[in-house]
Amino acid sequence: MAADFKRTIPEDIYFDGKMHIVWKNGDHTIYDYWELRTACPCADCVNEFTNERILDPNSVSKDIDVHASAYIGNYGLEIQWSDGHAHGIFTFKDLRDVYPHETRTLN
Amino acid sequence: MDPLQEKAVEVFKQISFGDNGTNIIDANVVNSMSIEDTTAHLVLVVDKEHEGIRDSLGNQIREELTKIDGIEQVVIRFTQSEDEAKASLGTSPQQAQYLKEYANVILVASGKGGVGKSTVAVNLALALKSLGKRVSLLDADVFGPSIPAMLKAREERVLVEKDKIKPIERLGMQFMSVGNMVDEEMAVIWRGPMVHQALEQILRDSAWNGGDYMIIDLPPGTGDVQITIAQLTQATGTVVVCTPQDVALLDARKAMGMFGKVNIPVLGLIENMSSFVCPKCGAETPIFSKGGVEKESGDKNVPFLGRIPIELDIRLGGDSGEPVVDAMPNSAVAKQFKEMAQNLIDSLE
Repeated sequence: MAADFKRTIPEDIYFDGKMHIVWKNGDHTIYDYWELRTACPCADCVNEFTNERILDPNSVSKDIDVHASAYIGNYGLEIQWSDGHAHGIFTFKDLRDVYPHETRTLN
Repeated sequence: MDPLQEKAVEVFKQISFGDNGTNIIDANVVNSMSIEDTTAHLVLVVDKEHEGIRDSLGNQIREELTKIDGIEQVVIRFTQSEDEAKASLGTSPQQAQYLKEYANVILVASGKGGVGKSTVAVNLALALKSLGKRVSLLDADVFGPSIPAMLKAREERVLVEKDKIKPIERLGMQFMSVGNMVDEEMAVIWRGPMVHQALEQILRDSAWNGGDYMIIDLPPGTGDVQITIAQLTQATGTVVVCTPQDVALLDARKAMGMFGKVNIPVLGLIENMSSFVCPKCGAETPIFSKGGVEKESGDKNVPFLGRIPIELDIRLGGDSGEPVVDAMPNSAVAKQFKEMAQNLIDSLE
């Protein structure tokens, strides 16, 4: 159980043009802003019942930026985007397993 | 410079960067450092060429820094260039969580109602206190607050001083309950958003003393209160109270499932109303069956913290506002609660 929790709990999160998460187990994953914004899971962007994507990715500017962010309990991150959108909670589990990211490797 | 920072710099000067002989200060590896409480936050620059030694360097820095009295944790942000290091500063997510003045925030939960959650919460809190811990208690059951009655504080009203709500003190603990904010007879009829607002106000505006443990007594089930607490605090974990019969176990599984979804570890299960020992003849009757919760904990691979029998003293203590752990500290039940508290402490250290 403990090892599993370390995998989905971030030790550090920062933004430098990309979003970086360093996980408690030492892994380091990196996310593209545009890819993350267009994958927003909130009810304005995805139909709650059918899971159909409402948000048209082409409507999101390629130079979308992050204004602020906040931890939601132990399980997620809320991001305030430069287009004013701020509702989606990106869960840590999905940040590990679902949202597109690259993993910074050591070799 | 802060004395802790100075000590840290001395440590850095003893750590060499790769095999080129320079230390990590002179090699400009340490880009910035800040120390908050007992956690040191570092931004390090390790270029691509040296990526191979990055992890061992991180481990070495962690090991050496935590030897300094006053630094317990080290968070390292590895960047690949000075520009990247600069860009990474000042953009961390906001920590909007409440109850940060407590080292541990423990949620006492159950799937089903009426399994003795509040009784366990109060006695567990007092048991932790008897073991030398500084403990506070939050009654988050906004619809049926029972902690005020259990702590003989039904008539009391919380005071507001300088925009802060002052928690009530009983038996050496601070506690807060909606029951001490609205009339006892008045039903709380709140929709979800109102529940969220009221709880956030209590979390934000209470003048807590802080300490080792904040015990939160949740209402039964998997509803608004649970979600709010899961979002606004960084809970250490939850203990799930359950009676041993099948229907209760079914609901407990749902509760555990919910905590899994919000990344809150289940620290253990507690079997309440385990069995009844007749005070007249000594015969043991497993009214709600016995051992079901311990078996469940084995199946689910979560620790079993202990079992509490059905005993008149526990119920009397609850109703009279004199919880058994405090009123009868040497009774067998009080000892069982203390054992449970010790199991919980052990699981966290």
